[in-house]
Amino acid sequence: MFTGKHARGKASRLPKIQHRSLSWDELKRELGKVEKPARYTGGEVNSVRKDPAHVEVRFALAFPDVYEVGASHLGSHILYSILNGRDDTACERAYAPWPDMEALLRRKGWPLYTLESFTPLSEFDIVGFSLQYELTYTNVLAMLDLGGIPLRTSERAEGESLVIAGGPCAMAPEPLAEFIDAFALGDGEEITGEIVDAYKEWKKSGQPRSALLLRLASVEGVYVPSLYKVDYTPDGKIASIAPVDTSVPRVVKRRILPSMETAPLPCDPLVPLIPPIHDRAMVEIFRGCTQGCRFCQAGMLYRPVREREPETVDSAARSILGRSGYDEVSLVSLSSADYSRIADVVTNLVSTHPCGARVSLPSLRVDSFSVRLAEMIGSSAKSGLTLAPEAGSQRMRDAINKKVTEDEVMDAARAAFTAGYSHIKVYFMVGLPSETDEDVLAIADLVHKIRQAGRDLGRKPTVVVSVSGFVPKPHTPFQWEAATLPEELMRRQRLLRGALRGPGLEYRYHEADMTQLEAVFARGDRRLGKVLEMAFRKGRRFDAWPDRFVRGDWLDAISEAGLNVGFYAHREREKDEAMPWEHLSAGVRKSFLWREKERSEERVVTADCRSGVCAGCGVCPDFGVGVALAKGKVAG
Amino acid sequence: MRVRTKYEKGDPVRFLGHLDVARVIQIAVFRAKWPIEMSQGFSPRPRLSFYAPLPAGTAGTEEYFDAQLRAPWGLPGLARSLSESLPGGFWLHEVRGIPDKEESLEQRIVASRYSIDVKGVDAGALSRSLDAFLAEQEVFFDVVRPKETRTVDLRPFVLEVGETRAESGDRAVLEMTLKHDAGRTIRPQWVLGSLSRFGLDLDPREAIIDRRKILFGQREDRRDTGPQANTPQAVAPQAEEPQGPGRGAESRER
Repeated sequence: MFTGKHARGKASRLPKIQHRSLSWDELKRELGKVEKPARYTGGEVNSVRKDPAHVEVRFALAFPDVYEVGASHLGSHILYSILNGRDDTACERAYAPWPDMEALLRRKGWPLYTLESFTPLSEFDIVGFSLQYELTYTNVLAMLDLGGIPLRTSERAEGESLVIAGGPCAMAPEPLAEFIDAFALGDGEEITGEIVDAYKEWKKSGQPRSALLLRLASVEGVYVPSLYKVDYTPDGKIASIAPVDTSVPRVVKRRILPSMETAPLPCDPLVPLIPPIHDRAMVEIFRGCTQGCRFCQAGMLYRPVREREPETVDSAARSILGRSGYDEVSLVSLSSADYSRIADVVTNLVSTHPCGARVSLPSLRVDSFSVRLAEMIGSSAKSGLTLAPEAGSQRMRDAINKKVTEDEVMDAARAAFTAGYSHIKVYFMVGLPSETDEDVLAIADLVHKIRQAGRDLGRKPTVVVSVSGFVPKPHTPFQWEAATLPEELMRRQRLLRGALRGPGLEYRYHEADMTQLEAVFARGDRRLGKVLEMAFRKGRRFDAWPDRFVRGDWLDAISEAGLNVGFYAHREREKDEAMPWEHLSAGVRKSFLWREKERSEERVVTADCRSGVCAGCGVCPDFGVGVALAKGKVAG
Repeated sequence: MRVRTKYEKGDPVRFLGHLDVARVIQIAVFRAKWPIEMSQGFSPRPRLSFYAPLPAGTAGTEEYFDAQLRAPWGLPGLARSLSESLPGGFWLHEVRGIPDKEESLEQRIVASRYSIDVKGVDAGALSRSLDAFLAEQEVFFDVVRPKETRTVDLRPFVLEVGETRAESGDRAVLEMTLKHDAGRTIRPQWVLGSLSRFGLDLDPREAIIDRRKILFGQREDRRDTGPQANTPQAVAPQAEEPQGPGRGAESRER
């Protein structure tokens, strides 16, 4: 029987890592044994290899998911370009090895290496993880372990790598607090370079590691968890989170770029040699989203909206297409149809690109304008269009502040069928706060109406209904809410499933058990670090992949750690309860979030601040930033 | 204008599968700004043709693809720009013009010659087991794929097995020529896998396999489809790819 005591043992640690680069000849005879070996061989178009002798800092960007996912991640592309743009820094990349590759590495006693130079992670000055999703956390531990880096901050000796992490999950990172030396909060463009600068100065100073951590804590937006002490109340809630040193800020504020116009816009993207999940060039057209959907963490974490000018987008798109060799460019943002100049930019790109480049738009709104846009770009041979009404009843849509009416949904659907689409995918959530069976069944009603609209227009429609379970996320108005129990989520899923049988309807759902675990870690505190380590020792990897998720291991780890799933996932928080991320500020005030929660209960909708009406979230005055909308036009 | 490109698939891109190679080359010709002609229809694709697919793990010294261009371009310019655009591990040998109506290269491929490099196996034992293989009339082998297992008679596809040489570092190397028959062929790994029946235990996945040459010629009767229809003697491979009209443009040397 695996107990907590044994979990701390080092039995599964790699044999002493060989401190040298792996040779290609050794690898070559072994890689034929793993699935998709090109995940582990690098050599991508626009990848950068520098001579380590000519730089001062070696930086490894580590992505805790499989290659095809990590190699599509735009944020990593941006940081890779910024870091390699510095003469003093060499930035390389590593991705989580799939379990077959991990087994090979362990069998051979080989370290996890970077793809540019086959160098073990432990050889790098700084290892920086990107945290996109809670269920990748055990991959972070696996990568450290395979890379030859001690798991815990407290175990790392002088001379060992500095381990940092950024990305949306860094805004509520407590489950990883014992494993990560420093978190970078908010926009990464500037802070990453500042961390490298601080590291360089520290290296020259010859001071101990503890001085590096203190120095980093003074960089705006850097959170060094070991410099904060967390106390708990007798019933297990957070009593206080306080810095252990007077030089350490009480609250760490997220970094916000004042303008995207002056932000780096790399035009030499890395082009993987095997297709990544998003196999196209990408240009970020704006950052932030002000729709204000109350369940959406990204909508709160990336405020305010900062648009790029259309000329900037247009020339970047052309340049990236030419320099990547892609024939399709995606205009990326949290809600691309919201971009002030979207029609101009799309029309111009489609009509004047010499090779007839295709344009794709992720995250379209639910309205007929979005459908017209989709039509304009002739997306994927009219095969499919995705709409996300998120909830079925008007009552629920008002509660979550999804500002779309049934008429608009139906207009969008009719526009899509008229334009020739026959395959429509609709996204919904179940398990939302205050949801009743009536609300769940309203999803089915809406779907039936959409199918009927298609039939009325003489199509043979297929409506794919994709339903996920709601997870309350930190820094959102729903951060106080209890997540719905998995049994209840499944009951609602079944209820909906039963109402959605028939020709032209397809039903897809997200595993309720995974939703529950996500809810545990999204709002978790430091005590969950023990759970992560135990789950890692039990072999949990890639739990974001439904066929690799093993619920039993997680439940065992949680109970062996003396913790309780319900406490983290299914407990409603009190208004004044200190959250585990109380000391990390995204800029959106807690009072605003609470007001939005109350408005949700009253079914009152809050306007998008693009409309000019300020909802008073606090980001702009508190951080000295503002909404920036594009003013220019593209020369057509 | 139609051009035929001869290139090498080396390290580390040997681990790309055939479809990956086609995708990477498509990206490279776009980067090189070749005026590629696009197919008609809803989702236009560039008109590129690839031949004799190699699996992930196998390198190729002389591989080919054909491209249909919208406009004439100087061959040296095509070669230079593509050479600069290909990722490391690909090497461009030659770009030359071919007639628009030239038949597909696939029709003329009769065999592939591979070099095989295995480690931890005694060269004498390997040689003896290969002799035993060649002495058989038929050698059935189960090709296991995710969704089906297919039994293939390997023997008729093995045209020639060269001398096995012992090399430094506990390695043994040899060359092997395998037949292509109406688009069907076998992999050297399958032959190595079948050697367990002839007293040799080796993991074919650890062999380093490079296709050195694609051999071209005329088959006796192109309509026959079964490997039995063509005995090994029926093909007369000619070593070089037949030269069409048009001037070759040599590119980067290794």
